[in-house]
Amino acid sequence: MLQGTVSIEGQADDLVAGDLTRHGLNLTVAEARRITELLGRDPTVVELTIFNTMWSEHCSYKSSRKILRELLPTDAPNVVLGPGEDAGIVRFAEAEDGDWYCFVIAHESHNHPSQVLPVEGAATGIGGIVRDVYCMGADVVGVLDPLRFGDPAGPSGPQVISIARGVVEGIAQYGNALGVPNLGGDIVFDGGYDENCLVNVVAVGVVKESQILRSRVPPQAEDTPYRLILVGKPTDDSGFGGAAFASEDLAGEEEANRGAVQVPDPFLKRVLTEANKRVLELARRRGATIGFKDLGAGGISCVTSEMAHAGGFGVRIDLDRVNLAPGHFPPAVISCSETQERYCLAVPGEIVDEVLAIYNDDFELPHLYHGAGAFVIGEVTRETNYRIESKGEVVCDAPVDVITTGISYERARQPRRLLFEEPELDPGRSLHDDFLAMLASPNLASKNYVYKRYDSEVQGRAVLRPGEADAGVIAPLPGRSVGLAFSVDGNPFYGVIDPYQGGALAVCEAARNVAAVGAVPATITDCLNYGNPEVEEVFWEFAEGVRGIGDACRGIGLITHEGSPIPVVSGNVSFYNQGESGKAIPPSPIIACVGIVEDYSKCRSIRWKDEGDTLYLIGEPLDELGGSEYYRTIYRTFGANVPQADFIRQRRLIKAVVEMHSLGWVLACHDVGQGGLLTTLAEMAMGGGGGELGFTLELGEIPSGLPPEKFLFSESGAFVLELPPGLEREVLALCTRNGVKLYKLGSLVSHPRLEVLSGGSRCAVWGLDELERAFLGGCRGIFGLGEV
Amino acid sequence: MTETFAGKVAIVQFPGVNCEYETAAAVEAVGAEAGLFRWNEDPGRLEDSLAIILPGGFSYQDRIRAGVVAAKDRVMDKVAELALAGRPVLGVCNGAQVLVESGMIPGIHWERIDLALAPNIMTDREGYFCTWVHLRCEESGCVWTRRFSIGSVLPVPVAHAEGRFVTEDAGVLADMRDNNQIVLRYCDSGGTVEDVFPVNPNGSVENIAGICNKEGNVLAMMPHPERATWLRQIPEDLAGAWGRKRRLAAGRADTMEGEGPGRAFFTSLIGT
Amino acid sequence: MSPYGFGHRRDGGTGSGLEELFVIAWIELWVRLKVVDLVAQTAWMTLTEKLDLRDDLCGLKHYSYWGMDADGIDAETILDDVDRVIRMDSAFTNQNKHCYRLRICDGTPQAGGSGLAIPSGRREGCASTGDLALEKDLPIEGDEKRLLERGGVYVFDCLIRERRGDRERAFEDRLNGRLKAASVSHLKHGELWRMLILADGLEEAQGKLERMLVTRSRREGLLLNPHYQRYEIVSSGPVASGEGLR
Repeated sequence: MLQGTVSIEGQADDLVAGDLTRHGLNLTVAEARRITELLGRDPTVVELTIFNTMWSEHCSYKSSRKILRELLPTDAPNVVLGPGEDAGIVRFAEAEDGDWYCFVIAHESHNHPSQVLPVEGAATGIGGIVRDVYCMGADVVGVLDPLRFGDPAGPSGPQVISIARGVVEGIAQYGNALGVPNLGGDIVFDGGYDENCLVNVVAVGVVKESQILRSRVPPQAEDTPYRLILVGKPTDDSGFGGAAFASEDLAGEEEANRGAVQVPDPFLKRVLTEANKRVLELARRRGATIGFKDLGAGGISCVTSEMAHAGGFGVRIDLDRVNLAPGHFPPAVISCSETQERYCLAVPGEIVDEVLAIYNDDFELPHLYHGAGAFVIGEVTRETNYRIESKGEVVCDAPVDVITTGISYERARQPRRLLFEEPELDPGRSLHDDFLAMLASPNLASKNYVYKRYDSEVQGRAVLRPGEADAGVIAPLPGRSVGLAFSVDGNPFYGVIDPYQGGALAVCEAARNVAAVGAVPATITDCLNYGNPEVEEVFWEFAEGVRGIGDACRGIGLITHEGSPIPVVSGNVSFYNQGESGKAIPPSPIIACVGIVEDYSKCRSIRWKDEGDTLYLIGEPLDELGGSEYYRTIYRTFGANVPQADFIRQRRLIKAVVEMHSLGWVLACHDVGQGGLLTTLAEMAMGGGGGELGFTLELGEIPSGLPPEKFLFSESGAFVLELPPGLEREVLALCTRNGVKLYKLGSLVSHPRLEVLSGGSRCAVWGLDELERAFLGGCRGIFGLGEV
Repeated sequence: MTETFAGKVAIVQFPGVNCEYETAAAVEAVGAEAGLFRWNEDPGRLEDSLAIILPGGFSYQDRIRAGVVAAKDRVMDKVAELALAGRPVLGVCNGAQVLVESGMIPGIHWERIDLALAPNIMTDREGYFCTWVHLRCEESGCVWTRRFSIGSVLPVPVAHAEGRFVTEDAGVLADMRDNNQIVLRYCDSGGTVEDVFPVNPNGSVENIAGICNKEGNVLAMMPHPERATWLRQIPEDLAGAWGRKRRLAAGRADTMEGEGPGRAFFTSLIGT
Repeated sequence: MSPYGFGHRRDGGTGSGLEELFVIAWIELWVRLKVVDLVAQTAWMTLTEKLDLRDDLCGLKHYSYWGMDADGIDAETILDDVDRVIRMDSAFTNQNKHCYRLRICDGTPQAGGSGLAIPSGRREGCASTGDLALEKDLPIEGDEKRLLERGGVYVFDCLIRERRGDRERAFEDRLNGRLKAASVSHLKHGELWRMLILADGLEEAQGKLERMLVTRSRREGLLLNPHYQRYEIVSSGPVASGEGLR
């Protein structure tokens, strides 16, 4: 007999709505009726709560799924596992035994919780994303963190700074304690994020293809009895409703969301990670196949129903066997709570006791954290029903495929009409002062105050660290020369003017950044951060952004497999990013790109190496400064001419640069992007501080046809390369063959200064020390000890 | 659990440490064998070990104070006993904090806590700080640095929030000096010991980065030698001789896989 | 009769020639986690299990503490202003995870002096705000049954501070940068431990307490390392049998 059903069939809409609210559910009346239809009867409270989570935007992709399916390429010859499970998996090197080494990547957002409770919100973001990678059987080798904060000098300045500092602290606390290195990230400040910061997190792992674990009950359960083990923190109500919460607007009174916050614990996670390794060793030793999945949004009910569904089985859960924190929790809370640091295992009966002993005795979980431990909470059944019991009563009983049935909405879209204008350039401005102001602006200034708080050395695999080059590089396999390069990108200012270009350019920039260290882009992941999808303009922005990403992936394509797109193997959609005022954030698709480099020893830092070496620019600065740092910082306007992503040109550029790297020519290479060519040159000169080499740029010798400011600050994708002298002919031939434009800029000198001339007369000159003061100190007021 | 530590380097895995695997790899890189010892195993198993390493990380999540909870674990009785009998013991980062909080370092007065590893003091910053520093090898009888010549300079990364060696007892500092217990000092890439951030990355008294006991067999150091065991681990832009060596190795993966500055700490375990 | 000390405004007034009367009062902020305090849990386990002090310690609780001189036009204004700032800045409190008590107590007028004694942590009658019922906030970590059965329980509120005052000064600057109607000085910040000690008298209890606090060897002391931290007892006294327990 089912306990606690809610009357829906035959009830008036307002009564149903009242019941839904009373149970704290965000389901619409129509959705509740749909559930009744699917079940063929009135649902129980527990069932409604499960659907409430499963049908949240966060879990169901109900607004976005159709567009993602339609527009994003997800398959390519290197893909082992595309979107669908916790993380995507891509091959990167053949193993000695014919197996393949793969990287595992997952990308998520933790925006709303971080706005409310920055330290815990951001830490929980890292905690959740690493679980997604661990549960594929992989070792996590790094995390990256793209962040977007409000305007530190704006009306919400103090709060923005408090949130930014808290988020960085949370990422540091969790990642450092877990022992996972930080491989990179980026930070953008804009008033559009005043009420809604973005905290995206990317985790990367490495696993051998034969050792990938699946998030499902294994087929062996057909013949052997399988048990479900829940391990980790005792279940409580912290984060209850969190998945539903992530898809709601932020209410003004942040205290209202108290219950939605999860409490992260990197210590327990670290101990669990070690214990899990021993469990996997045990399973391998005993020839047992196990299923393994982390608990995220939706808790026990989500994880067990999805594991059962993926394996084609049913399960029976006994909530009385779940280890609980002190307090009294109704069955719906125990079923769906988002308590952190938990995993679920499907384990054959004969090794259950040994598995429990590893967690509870060897690693003393119950002793290290009050109430933690591993417990059998249910069993796998061949009958494909999803059944939950509590205190001897059945509180949920439905076919598994009904529980996991998706929901989909067709959202209307409407182009946003905004007028953008190009600024009138003022010839009287000082290039010298303008450029220093740009370098010191929070968006361009060095983020060393942030990344020095992260452990980028742990695990000992780092080759290029945050701040040293356009991409972070690790040597993932001891004794082998193969390297992996990582970059995250997404410039919101392009998307404000043109959301299609916002998506497309994010992919271009991320791909260029890994190419800048000589790596071949192998895959991307996306985290799509937008406002309320029920607003037609917002949904249009979203659809345009996705279209741009899809076109860029196909247009650039895999360099290694002619005709294949760059696959999107994992991702996340985050809607409802808006504050009390209802104003949506700028369209913010954020892309992570992973590149593969055959020989990491050829990956170079951006810092200039030797006097007499030659600088080249490949690619072409165009009159497309819309959304540029120059327009925004100096003219306080967005402009109109946003860069137009030219995928063929991008592919050629990337090919040419990677080729030069593999020939061993490249001494330093830096992408031209935010801040334009002059910023690129300055960053190479400073090289993170203490730069000793200088350069004079003679604009008269470069036939660009642009006014000097536009040439210097255009953000059209390009590269600056330092090559040894005497390679002119070879370089020109290579660029001609690849169909890319090449400008020889000149030679490096031992004078530590940067100079710009035009037809022999000086436009500006900077000592490297004054550049460094501006650049290295620009974020001190936000992230340093000094207060604004 | 029948694994024996006879002849092996035992790496003690307190709950929450996170550098045990790269530490094991560094030990194995010099041809020694390494094994992980879980904190709650029978301490008697450490009896025949070649050496004991307390690796970096966050034992017990640094609750109360970094290292202090692990310092009171049962296994530390055995570690102290073996150390007294001359067994080489190395504590890196969190391991150093455990050695200080257990009174094994400086060990001038048996079991007395004579030092602290206090929160970093830095310019414009607070909390955790991760960077590469240079260390100068000072004159000492420490077994862990016997492969280094006095005055040699080596780059190694630090990554901690509490690494400032400090004592309230001026006599202890003088004794450590007199006993040649100050093994490593933070210096610039040219070897000059200057008490200025970030040369001294945490404000440690007298730029101290590593201290051994009087007998020289126990070393507590904040920097991570296991993260500087291969040449490839050195940042390309690092100043000094090792940075130059790293830049010259660009494009040559074999050279990159060669020895880094931190390896000699582990080489000291083998041979004579 | 005002319960607060009177003094002269220490800042801003130079050259004006006007000497306005301002109150100077001692203000305290106690903050505690609403969720499980893992530090307290670990301290309890380490003291009772690893250091074997089951017979001496029957409970502990753990807070963040800020205490400071504050001056402003009147007590209410000071309290409101400080409350506004500490509610806004998560370096002090975040109401999603903390409960706190901010209270203003009588202090002695100071002329830039230091070493102001903190008034008793258990003093009644202070004006206060916040959602932490401090006076009744007895440890739940410990052994309630034993506490109820037996007398001879002493409660100590001990503040552990760093010897260096850098962080305290940074907090002071941070507050003064944001306060509008008050200014603060002589700020003390640290972790505050409320310890319940079983003993046959206050003196014996204090001895036992000291052995729990100060780490002198591997086998003795836990909560502070005397080479960079120090402690002061904010208040102490016997607990009447069963007092304050649910």
